Amino acid sequence: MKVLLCVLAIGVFANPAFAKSTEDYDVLAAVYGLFAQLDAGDPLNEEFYWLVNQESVQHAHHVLKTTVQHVDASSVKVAVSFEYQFLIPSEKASPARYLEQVIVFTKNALGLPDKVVSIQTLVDETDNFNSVFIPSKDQNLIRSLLYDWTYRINEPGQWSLNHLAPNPDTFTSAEPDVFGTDTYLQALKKLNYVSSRRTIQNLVIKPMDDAYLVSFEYIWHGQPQEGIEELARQSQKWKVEIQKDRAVVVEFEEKYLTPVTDLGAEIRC
Amino acid sequence: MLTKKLVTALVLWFVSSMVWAQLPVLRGIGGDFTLTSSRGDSVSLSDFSGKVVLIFFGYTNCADICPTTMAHVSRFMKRLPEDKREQVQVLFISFDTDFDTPEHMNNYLSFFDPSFIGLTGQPEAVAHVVEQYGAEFTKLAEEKVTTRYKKLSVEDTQIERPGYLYSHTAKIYVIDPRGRTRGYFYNGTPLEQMKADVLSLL
Amino acid sequence: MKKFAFSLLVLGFLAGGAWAESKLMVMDSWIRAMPPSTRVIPIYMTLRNHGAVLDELVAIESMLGKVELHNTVEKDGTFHMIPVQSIVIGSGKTVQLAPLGLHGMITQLHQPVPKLGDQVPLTLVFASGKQMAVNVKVVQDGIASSEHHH
Repeated sequence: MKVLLCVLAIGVFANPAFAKSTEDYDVLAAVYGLFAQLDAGDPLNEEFYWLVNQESVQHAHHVLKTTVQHVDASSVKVAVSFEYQFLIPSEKASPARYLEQVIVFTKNALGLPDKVVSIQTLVDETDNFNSVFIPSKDQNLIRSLLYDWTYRINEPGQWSLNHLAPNPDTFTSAEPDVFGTDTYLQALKKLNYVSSRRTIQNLVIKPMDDAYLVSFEYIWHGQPQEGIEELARQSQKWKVEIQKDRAVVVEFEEKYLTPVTDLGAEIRC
Repeated sequence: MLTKKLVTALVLWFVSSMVWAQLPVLRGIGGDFTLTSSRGDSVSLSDFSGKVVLIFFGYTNCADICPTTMAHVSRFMKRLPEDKREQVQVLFISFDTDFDTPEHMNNYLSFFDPSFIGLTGQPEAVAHVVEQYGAEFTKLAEEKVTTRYKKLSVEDTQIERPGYLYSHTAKIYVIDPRGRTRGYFYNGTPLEQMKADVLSLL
Repeated sequence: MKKFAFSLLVLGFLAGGAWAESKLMVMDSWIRAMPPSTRVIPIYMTLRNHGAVLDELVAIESMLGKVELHNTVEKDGTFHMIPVQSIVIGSGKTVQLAPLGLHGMITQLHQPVPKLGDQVPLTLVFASGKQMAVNVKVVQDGIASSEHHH
C-alpha cells in the first residue's frame, strides 16, 4: 500500500503541469538594468520620485521580489518590491524605504523591454530607524548582464553577445570548437532546438579586488526538432568587470554536470 | 480492500499517463565505452544498441549496497514480460580493479542473475567511464576485507591480499536503445515505475 | 524494614544487571545468500527492547569469520559505509539492521560461504556483558514473517 502511494506521489510530482514555469529573463534584465541606472545617479525624470535629490548623494536599490504580470509583443508589466537607500556625504546611514511598484516597460525594435512608461506605487514605507548604506549598483549591473545573457543564449540564432563580452581573456565552453562568443552561439545553434529554457540556480556574486566572480548553475531544457526533450545541468563560472558603469564578462567557463532528474526517484519509499 | 484496489487503479492510471512525460535525454553525461566483460571478451555499450541498458557501479567486496541493488534490479527484471526482458541488459561495472577480475565477477554475478554482465578493465579505463557517467568511488583506506578459506574452488589468486571497502554512487543509469542516458533509478525507485520507464523506452 | 527493601530495589534498578533484567527480542533475522566466492556476507535483524534499561550491541560473533558492524549512509547520491562501534537500542525502542542501513558484515571468512537455507549460529554480545545466541537463516532476499528469539 505504501509503495502504491509512493508511486502515486511520484506520478503527481512528475507531471509537467506542476513544473516551475520559466523566468522571463528579458524582463528581469530590464528591471535590474533600470535600478542600476538609478543607482548610478543617471538624471531621469520625476517618475522616479523617491530618489533623494541632493549634492553627491548615493543611491541603492535592493530588489527583493519580481513578479512578471503581463507580457505581450509591445510591452511588459512587472511587479517589483525593493528597498531604497540613499547616502548623503555627511552621514553614515539613513532611513531605508520599502516600495512595492508595478512598472510597465515598452519593447524596443529588437523586442527587448527597454523604456519605462509607467510606474504605479502600491506601497511606500519609510523605516523609522537608520540602516547602514550598502551599495547595489554593481550587483544590479551584474544581474542585468546575467539575465540578458541567459535570455540571448536561449535563442542563439537571433542574438549577439558581443556587447556583454567584448574582449574576454578566456572563454572555455562545454561545447566543442568554441573560442569566443560568436563560435559559442554557433555551437548552440547547431543543437537545433526549437525551444530552449534555462533556469539559474545557486547564484553567488563574490567581490574580488578589481572584479567579481559570478558562479551559478543552469538547469537547461531544450526541445530539438525531432522530438525528445533534452535536459542538462551546467556549472558556470564567470569573471565580471564593471567598466564605465557596464558589466562585462572577461573570463567565461562552463562545464556539464550530472543532471538531476525531475522525477525525484531518489525518494526512499 | 476496495481502497487498495482504488489506489492501484489510480496508480496505474498515473503510471500510464507518465508516458506523456517521456524521459528526457540527459546531456553531458554518459556515452559509449569499451571494457572487459565477465565473459572474457571486450564489450562496448554500443554492442547493446537497440536494447535498454541499466548500468550501475559497484564491487564484489560490497556486503550491503551492491547485493541489495542487484536484488532490486533482478526483481524488476522478473516483472518484465519475457519478450521485453530480452531487450534489457544489466551491466555491473566494477571499479575495484585490484580484486574484481572478469572471472571472479562472472561467478559472482551469475549467482544473482545470469543475465547480468560484469565489466571491468584497467584502472584508467574504468576511471574514465566513471567520470563519463558523473559517478564516483572512494577507497576507504581503513577498511579491509579478506578471506582465509583456502578451499574456494573458483579463486586461485592471492587470497591473502586484503581487499578494500569503497563508498560509491548510488545511481542505476538508464540508457536508451540509442545509447543516450535517459535517467536514473535508485534502490528506492518503485518497481512499477522502473517498469513503466523502461517500457516507454522500448 | 520496608524502607530498606525499597532502597535495595531502587539500587538494584540503578545497578542494572541481575536485578533489572533487559528484555531484548531479536526478530526477523536473516543473512543474504551470497555467491560461493564472496568475501563478505551481510547480516540483518530487528532488535526490539522491551525492557526498562537500554541495550548496547557491541559485537556479533560467528564461527564463519570476523563480524564488523557498519552503517550504510546515503549522501547526495553517494553511498558511504561507516563502521560503527556499537548499536544502542534504547528502552522501549526498536532498531533495525536492514539493507542500506545498519548491518553486520562477516569478513575474513575461514569457512565455506553458507548456502541458501542454512542456519548460521551467531552470538550477539552486549555492553552489559549479556550474550544472546541466535540462529540466523540464509535467505534469498529478505524475510517475510517474524521469527522471535528471546
